[in-house]
Amino acid sequence: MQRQKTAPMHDHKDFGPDITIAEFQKKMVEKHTTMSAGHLKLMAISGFLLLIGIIAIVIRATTDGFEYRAPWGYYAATVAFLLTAAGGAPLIIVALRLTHAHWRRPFARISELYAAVGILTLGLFIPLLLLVPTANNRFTLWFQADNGGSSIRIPWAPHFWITLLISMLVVSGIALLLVSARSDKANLNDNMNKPRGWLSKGWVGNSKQWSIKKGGLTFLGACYFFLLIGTLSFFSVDFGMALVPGWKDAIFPAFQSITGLQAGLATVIVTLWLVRKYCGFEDYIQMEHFWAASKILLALSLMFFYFWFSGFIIFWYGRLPAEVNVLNLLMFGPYKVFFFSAFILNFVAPFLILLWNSARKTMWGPTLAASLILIGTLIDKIRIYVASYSVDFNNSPVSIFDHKLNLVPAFQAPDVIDVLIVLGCLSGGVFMLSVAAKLFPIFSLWEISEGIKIRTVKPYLRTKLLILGKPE
Amino acid sequence: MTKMLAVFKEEEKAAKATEELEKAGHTNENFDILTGSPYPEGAFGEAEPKHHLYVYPLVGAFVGFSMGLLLTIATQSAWPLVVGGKPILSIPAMMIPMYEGTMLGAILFTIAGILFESRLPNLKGGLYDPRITEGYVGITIEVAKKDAGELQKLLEKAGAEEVLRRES
Repeated sequence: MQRQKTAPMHDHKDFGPDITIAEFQKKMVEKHTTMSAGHLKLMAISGFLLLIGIIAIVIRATTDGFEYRAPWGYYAATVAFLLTAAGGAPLIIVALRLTHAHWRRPFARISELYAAVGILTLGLFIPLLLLVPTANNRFTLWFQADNGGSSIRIPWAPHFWITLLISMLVVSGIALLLVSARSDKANLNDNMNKPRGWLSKGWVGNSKQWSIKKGGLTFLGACYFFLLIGTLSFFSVDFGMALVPGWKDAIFPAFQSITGLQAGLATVIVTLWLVRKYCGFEDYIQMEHFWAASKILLALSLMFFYFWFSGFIIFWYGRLPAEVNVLNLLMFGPYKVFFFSAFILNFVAPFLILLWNSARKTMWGPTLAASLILIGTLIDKIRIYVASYSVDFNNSPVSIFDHKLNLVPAFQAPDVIDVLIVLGCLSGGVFMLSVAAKLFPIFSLWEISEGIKIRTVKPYLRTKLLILGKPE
Repeated sequence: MTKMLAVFKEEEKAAKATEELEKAGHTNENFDILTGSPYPEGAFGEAEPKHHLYVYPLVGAFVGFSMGLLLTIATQSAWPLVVGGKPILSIPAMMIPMYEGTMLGAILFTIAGILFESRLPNLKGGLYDPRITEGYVGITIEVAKKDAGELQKLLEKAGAEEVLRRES
């Protein structure tokens, strides 16, 4: 008699650990209170590199000053990268909360912690203000070109407005983190028998407080979204495009905003993988989280291509005389390797990786794609900002008030100071994140506890299914 | 008045206790539920929490937008040059300050709203038991002093592990 084939029971571990809220919270408190040697080492190394970076910035400022932009190209690119990748990260949890994606829970705090990097980005942004002239009589978003067509007078443009914008982004990101972490801080203090701190004082967890917390996160999240799009758009215009005569591209600001979303998600995915691998959270971060995120990453990579191609084809096909040198500067001249590398790393490679279910439905596939996207984003920022800043040097024939670019400067290779600045600032981002991870639990305890309550695994025929309650 | 906090180990017993409270004549407006993590709204039969948080960002955005509008009108009126046939008050150039004003107002008012509606910082602290953060469920209720003893019995009978009291 032929033996009947039976499908194997689905491995329960795929659905995460079978754990109660109390057990989960106890584990998380233990993890948070005992600082691992690895965490300490990460903080020490990244802090040291940040210090080196700051020294390098001071050397750059004292030796080259702020008269010309050319020496500051790599610095500007790094600030733009931090603004894009770290600034975009908190938006991921905002979007996932708004869409009630239940797989978001392990992403939540990791995503929010990146708001702390915003403080560093704001600090690093300040020197850039000294490199950009006022908007008066220039062709910018501010319509202050008197000899060109408008009589508008917007005071303190663009310096005050872009500083205000980045400050608001940082404030809303920090507010998002504090509102979300308030109950978790109360939880930690109670579990450690410590008195409540300033943030958690007064938290009792009544229905009104939970309701305000969720509502507050929604409103602050909406503000963060609007601010991030505005910040990335205006920064890329005022600190990039408007500095190159003849570069007028309506798609560029939107393209930069899209890279913010893509790089933000990539940052969170890579961090999630690192946290899983090195912090011992294998039980809580599962393949399903990477798989779900990879679908959004694939969509964002396709959007990258759409915006990249739209921006490219208009310039390339139009080829107006005033734009030929802009094309050469940014795409087919000294930075062509960067231009095509960014295209491959931000679109082609992630697209090919994430196209296949066998790679997408793994933990390494989305992480690899996300890592390539982050490298591609940095390369793209170097292309944009180093190229834009390279036109302004001592005795340069290019004036910011010109209508067209008269010169395509040679490729500006980084010197030792540039390398130290880039390394130091990027490490500074890691330092801020690791400090924030020490102050706040790396998992959103309240959100994961809520998730434990509303999910259960039940047998169904020869397999098991995850039953998820949707309170909303 | 006496404020009471009943602490339940099992959530089911806490839900049952709220039913007993209602049977004893207390409406769901009289008691509140304290939990360490959020439960679906109405899981314990509690009243829907009332707050006006949504008003704050709207008012803030309106105030900020108005400030941005006034600022740009003022600065352009102070320099009323017509160049290139453009009107003195050109909307496209006013949009960024108006957008930033709107966002600034919305954020500041939202943060103020969260602080105000949550009564932050609450330095006195309410009646609370740290076991709630470990997963216990608390029910708070305020009653007249003379009814406190009877209510404590009711809550203990419903399964409360402990009933804490504070006279005011």
